[in-house]
Amino acid sequence: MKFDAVVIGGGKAGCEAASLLLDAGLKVCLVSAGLTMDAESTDPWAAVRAIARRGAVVLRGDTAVSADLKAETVLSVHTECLEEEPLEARLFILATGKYFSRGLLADMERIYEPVFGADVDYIPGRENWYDSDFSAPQPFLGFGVKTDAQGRVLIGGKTMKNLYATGDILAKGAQAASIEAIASEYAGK
Amino acid sequence: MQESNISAGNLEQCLKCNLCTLVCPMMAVNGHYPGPKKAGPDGERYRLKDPQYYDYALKYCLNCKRCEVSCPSGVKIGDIIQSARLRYGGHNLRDWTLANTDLVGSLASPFAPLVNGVLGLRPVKTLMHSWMGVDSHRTFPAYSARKFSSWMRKQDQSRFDKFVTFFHGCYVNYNYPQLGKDLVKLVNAAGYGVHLLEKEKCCGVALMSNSMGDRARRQGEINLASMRKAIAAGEDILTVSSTCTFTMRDEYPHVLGLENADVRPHLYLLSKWLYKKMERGEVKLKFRKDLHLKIAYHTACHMQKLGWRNYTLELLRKIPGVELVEMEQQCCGISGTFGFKKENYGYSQAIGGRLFDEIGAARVALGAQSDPGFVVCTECETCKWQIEMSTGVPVMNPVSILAMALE
Amino acid sequence: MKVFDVIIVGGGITGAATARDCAMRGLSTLLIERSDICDGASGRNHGLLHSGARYAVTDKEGAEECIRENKILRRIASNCVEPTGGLFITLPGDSLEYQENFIKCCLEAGIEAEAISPKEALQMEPAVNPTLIGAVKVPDASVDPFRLTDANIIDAMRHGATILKFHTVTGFVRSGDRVCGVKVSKPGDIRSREFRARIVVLAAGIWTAGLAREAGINIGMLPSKGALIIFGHRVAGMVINRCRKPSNADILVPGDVVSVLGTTSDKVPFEGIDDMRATPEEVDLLLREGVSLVPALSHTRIIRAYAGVRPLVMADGDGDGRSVSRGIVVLDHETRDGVPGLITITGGKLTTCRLMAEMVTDAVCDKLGVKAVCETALRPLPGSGKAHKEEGEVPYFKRAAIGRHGTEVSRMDFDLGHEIICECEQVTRAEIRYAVKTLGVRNISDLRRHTRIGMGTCQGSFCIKKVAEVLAEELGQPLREKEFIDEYLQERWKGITPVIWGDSLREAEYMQRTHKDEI
Repeated sequence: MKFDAVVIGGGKAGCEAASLLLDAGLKVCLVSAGLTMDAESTDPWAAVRAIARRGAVVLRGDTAVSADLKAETVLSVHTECLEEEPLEARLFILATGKYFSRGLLADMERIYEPVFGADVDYIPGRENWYDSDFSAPQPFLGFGVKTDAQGRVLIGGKTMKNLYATGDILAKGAQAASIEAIASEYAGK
Repeated sequence: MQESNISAGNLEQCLKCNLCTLVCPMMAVNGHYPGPKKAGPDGERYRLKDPQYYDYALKYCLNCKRCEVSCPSGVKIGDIIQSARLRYGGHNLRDWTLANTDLVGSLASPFAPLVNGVLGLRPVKTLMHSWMGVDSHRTFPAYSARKFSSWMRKQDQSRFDKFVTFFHGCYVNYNYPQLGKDLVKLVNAAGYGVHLLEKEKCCGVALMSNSMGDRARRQGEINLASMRKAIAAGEDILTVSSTCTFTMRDEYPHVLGLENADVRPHLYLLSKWLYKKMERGEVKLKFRKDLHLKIAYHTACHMQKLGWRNYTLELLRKIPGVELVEMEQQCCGISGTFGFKKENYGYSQAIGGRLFDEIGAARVALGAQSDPGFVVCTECETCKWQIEMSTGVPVMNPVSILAMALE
Repeated sequence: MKVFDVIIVGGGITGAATARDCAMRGLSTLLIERSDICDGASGRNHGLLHSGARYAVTDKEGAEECIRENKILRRIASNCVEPTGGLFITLPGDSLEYQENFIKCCLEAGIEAEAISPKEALQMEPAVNPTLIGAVKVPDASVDPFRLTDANIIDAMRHGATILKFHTVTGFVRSGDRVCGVKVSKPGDIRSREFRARIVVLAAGIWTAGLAREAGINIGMLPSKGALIIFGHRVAGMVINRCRKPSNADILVPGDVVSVLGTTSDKVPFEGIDDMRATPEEVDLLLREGVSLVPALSHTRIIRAYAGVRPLVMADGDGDGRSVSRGIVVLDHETRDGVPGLITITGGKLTTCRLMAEMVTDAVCDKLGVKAVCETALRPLPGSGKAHKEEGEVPYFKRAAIGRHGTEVSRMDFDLGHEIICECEQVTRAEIRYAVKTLGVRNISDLRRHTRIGMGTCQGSFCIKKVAEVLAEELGQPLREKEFIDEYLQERWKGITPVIWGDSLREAEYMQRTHKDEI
């Protein structure tokens, strides 16, 4: 399926990004793997549904699993349900959140981003991930993907031309993408 | 080692966020049902210790999988509950009769006019309500005098050089062969001939939800063996029912433990197959311009779980003159044999109420109050029975709409 | 001032069982515990009711004691013990001769040990390492140490004992050389109270050494740390052991609805004994070894890691700690140190708690000239026995409580309190009320020990606000939310951080974000 933009992640940041992209008249696909901690208890899918009502194609309960890259460009993203059918677009927004929403995964030694293999800013060595005092600031809550000054995601040290990040997936101090600006840029193209 | 902390059914990935509980349609109407989290991952930890912890209220689970769609942790909540029901739940004669669709269908079909007539009689419905527990509000879909498979075997498909295999399912075969004929028309128009499976059995979804796992497994094995033969001959397998597709792709491995990784990528709902072919330019279809249908699309629960509704929507949008409106993704309440049982009827109707109202409102919004061109479209046959009974609006499978729209 | 026959210092399993025996023999008994019942090693162990097989080769007497007590506890504490059975498996690289000798030693010690084929072992327990080359079936079992300790305390109370929690013994009341009582104070309170007794028994685990020093007595004790990890669900239904010379991480025990893998054994300094925590290194070691017992552990979620301290006693006269006794040690300080009125009971293990109590109570009665027969092996503990048969199907909210508390469930008011508060462990308000009324709790950590609140996969992050409300109501106190919740979350955090990867990291994020005002 072909779109102007694919937003991966249907939480607060993802829905906001999708909304701004729709405002600019772009054809948007939103991938939402599940509900998030921000979901309202009276109508948990409300934010995602609002995006669908505005004409975006929403994949509810589907998870992005991998991406096709060529040089520094993302060509398409594959999801669990659509399998071999790729989501092709000119622009990709990564808004998958941190650990709870599985935007970042952790094994015994490392923390990584599973869809693109994006560069993650974290401290190696599990004993450095936490503070023993529950009420103290926790290092792991500051880990996340690295971005350049425009909010573009880095993979293997290289800046991806059409992949931006927003929301909790960002490392502390990493620049968030300005979706409004990006949306007008792509609407003009 | 420890790359991921997961186990059977992913049960302990559950972080107790309770988001599943918020979206469960049964919880909203039935105080006896403990909810997906308690029935699934919570309950399973106790059932692993001792089967006496099985709660019979698990029979209220609709297997709609909306809990799984919402779960941020990827817990297979519905699968955990279904597996528990298979292990510890039970069934009675009524359940056995409702679930053994092949047997009942084969017996009824030769006597279809008589059977249909009798089943429609008021006193018979009352008797079935009190003796068998089949709710008298429900009407069984009429049986067809001639099975779809009998018709299909008489069709000459030899003019084609490429083929697909059609898993027709029970509804098409015993009740509504027209839908099967629509698929054949559509697939032929796409340039493919249609074969049947060497041997086809009911997908087994009703057997599974009524705790008859062994029988479901046996039927599944037969289906998979037949499908493997078709795949070896280079043919993809097409279906028209979202539930049959979902059952054979996902429930077979996750709940019945049947390996199907080699079959799964070749098993398609018609709309996904057709979309893919058209998208790649392999198939070109011409649609009439004068169809003027007003369609309210309903996402069946298993369709939401499959994640393929957009293929259907894109195909419907290709038909000129069609007005398409999407219903909110919600459960119609019938959940297959569940809604036929008299003790469940009230819950079914309570759950579906919002959908029925929304369909009514859509009809008004589309200006179709007296318009015979207003239909609800959905891939699930039991949703069809439920919506037709509860709203009076005709329901069509997208395959039928597409076939009708062919030039 | 009242003079008790006996004051017992220490509210772990040893103290509790001793209080029970003393009270049953008619002694006026006071038990003093500085924190909550079961806050020491009794609340941080493996939950394993040994068959004794593990000790059969090196310590026949210890093994005989174990199997006798194992059978007794199954009978008198049926709701605390789950008769899971156990397997000792021999893996490729281990010696089958060891297994042969092992079986021989078990049988000699009176332990039913049956060699079974690998195929039979896999049928009995599909989770064991399928490459095993031999297996022995033994009567190991799983025991809930909290439930067992509570049952002893409740029985002691019902036989007239007084239980004084949250009071620290700061010194002894002396009359010449004789100990005739203890001085206690509450934390944060400078006032001191005295209690008098004819005999004082020290049953305070590793803390006994410090207490004895207050009486000028030196007991050579070595704190030995053991770390364990808890998996989110019951991976194996039987106790799985490695059939070789006892080593680290070679036992996996099913405990209620979790699995516990352990353990390690490292000497630690006395300074750290009040704040034991498992380290990431210990977790990694346990996991590496555990995977060879049950391969599924490599991909099973770990919900927490914890550590306890064993009181290892040096054989008397041994200054440098080389020969350490794991057996039961009763020290009569009158004869040993010239301090009459003081007896220490230490060493031993959870499995032999009743025997330890019998031995020290015999010593106490001897000193007091009391001739009373020990009946602790005969009489069932509260909760033991067939739970009252319900009419029709047992409602689901009662089943977990029955599984935990057995016949004591009849003292729980389910009509008023059947709402489930802790969903992971199915703890109802009725159970909370029973714990508050029968045992007395200060906060949620205490409540956890006596119910199972917060011991499940969410570690309290989901239910904790509700638990705090309910507890405040049951205590008849205003809701000190910050105090209750912060204390509890800090306690849980200690166990989550060593395993903070995968889903436990997700749980940690959830805990942080839902319970902190801002991040």
